[in-house]
Order: sequence, then C-alpha cells, then structure tokens
Amino acid sequence: MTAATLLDLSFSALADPTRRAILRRLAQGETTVAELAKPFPISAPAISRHLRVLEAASLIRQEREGQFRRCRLDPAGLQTAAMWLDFYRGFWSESFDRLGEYLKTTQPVLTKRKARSHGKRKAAGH
Amino acid sequence: MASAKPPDIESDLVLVITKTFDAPRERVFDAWLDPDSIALWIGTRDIRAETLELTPHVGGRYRIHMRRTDGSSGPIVSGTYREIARPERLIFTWTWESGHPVAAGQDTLVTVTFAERSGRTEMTLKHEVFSSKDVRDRHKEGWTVSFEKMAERLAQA
Repeated sequence: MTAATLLDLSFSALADPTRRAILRRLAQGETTVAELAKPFPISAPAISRHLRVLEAASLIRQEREGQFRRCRLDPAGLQTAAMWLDFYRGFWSESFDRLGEYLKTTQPVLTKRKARSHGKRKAAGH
Repeated sequence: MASAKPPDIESDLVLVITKTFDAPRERVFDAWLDPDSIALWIGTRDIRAETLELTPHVGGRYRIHMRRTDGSSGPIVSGTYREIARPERLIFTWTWESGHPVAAGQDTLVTVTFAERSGRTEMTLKHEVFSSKDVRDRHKEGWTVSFEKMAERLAQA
C-alpha cells in the first residue's frame, strides 16, 4: 500500500465520530470487542463494520483469542497521518515566514493607493 | 515504531495555521495569485519555486515547480482554483504530481482566509485531505458531482 493510499484510508476512517470515539477508548488500552461496543447505542454488526474500516486503515488491529476478539491501536495509520501533518505544518510555516519577508521588502502599497485614488488601475507599462 | 498518540484526533484531522502580516488584505491576497510573487515565498527555505502556469480564475489551474536551491529538481505541485473572493477568501486544490515522499498523488484542499485586524491582515490557512468521501462531501465538489449526476440522469430520461 502506498503512503498516499494509507493516508486516504486513515483520514476517511477518522472522519466518523463513532470511529474516533472507538480510537479514544482504545487509546486507554486494548480491550475485547464486546467491551468496546458497550457504550455505543448501535448494533454489534455496525460496530464490526466500523472496526473493519479502522483495521483497513491500519489504525487498529484485531486478534481472535478463544471466543473473544481483542482490539488495540495500530500505530502505523496514526503515524502516517501525523507525518502528513508535520510535513505540511513545516511547509506552510516556513512559507509564511518568507511571505512576511516578501511583504516587507516590496513596497507597491503607495503605487496601488495612488492608482486607486485615480479611479481605475492603469494597464501595465509606462 | 513510535508509540501512537491519538488523544487529539478531532483537531488532528485538518491542519490550520494562522499568521498576521503587517500589510493590507489585498496585498497579502495578491501574493497568492500573482505568478511572480508566489514563486518568491512559497515553500521551505531550501526551495526556489518556479511558476509554470497560473490562471487566476475559478476553474483555472496552477502548476508550481518546487526547485531546490541545491540544484536538484524537486517535485511539482498543481491544482485548480475553486473560489477566488478577493480579498476575503481563496480556495484551491493541491496535489503533488509526482516525486513527493509524503503525499504524492493525494488530493488535498487549501482554504485561505484573510481578516482585517486594524490595518494588518490575519491570514488563516486550512489544509485537508479531500479524497475521502466524508471530507469531500462537505465541499463544493460534492455538490458539483451531485449536479453532474443529476444532469446525466435528466439527459437519460
């Protein structure tokens, strides 16, 4: 699976409030599927569907243990999403620092104000 | 592998960055849509961008080559303008065409808003993945797709 595919899957999985609640619960520690389903007012098959989506996005892992299924967080999916955010946070922060410098160095404000006070902006050229 | 840190899942879904500039809104806004201006500031400090294409109207495309200062090529980002409301808001799609280690081929959406703060400009950028159905449906593309489907159905009827 490519990083982009995994990322799409994890963002799509995270877009649902029930699935986010499941992840928050699992963040406190692994548990059985039955235990996990208790606080949610939805059917067992519905919970299973949510768990399958989370598993496909590498956000959780499920393991069969006798007659129980156990669930725990899988760092892979969350790490991919965190990597994405870190990358763009750095990209845009540095871009904005440079934009601030750019806005300081160029001084077209006066020209624009003058142009506006004369009504229409002139076409380019002298 | 590092341990998972999921507690902030709600806010971690979308990247939001705010910065205030000592310039009027129009100037900050125009820095995004002028081909020469944007090339001067977009990217990290190891990038010297080159605007390959920039058509500043809704539906128009841009392509920017993120050339590296060390002479190596660097990836190309491209997208389409969705909304241009000078000087309040700018919305465009953002996709790395290839060669990007983190996010190549992934469709994302950037929304930039410009608020006046006593002569200064507070700029807020929101960057999100929209190829997932849930996220995309909150945006115009969801409507566009719906309208296209509706038009197809009407044409078939």
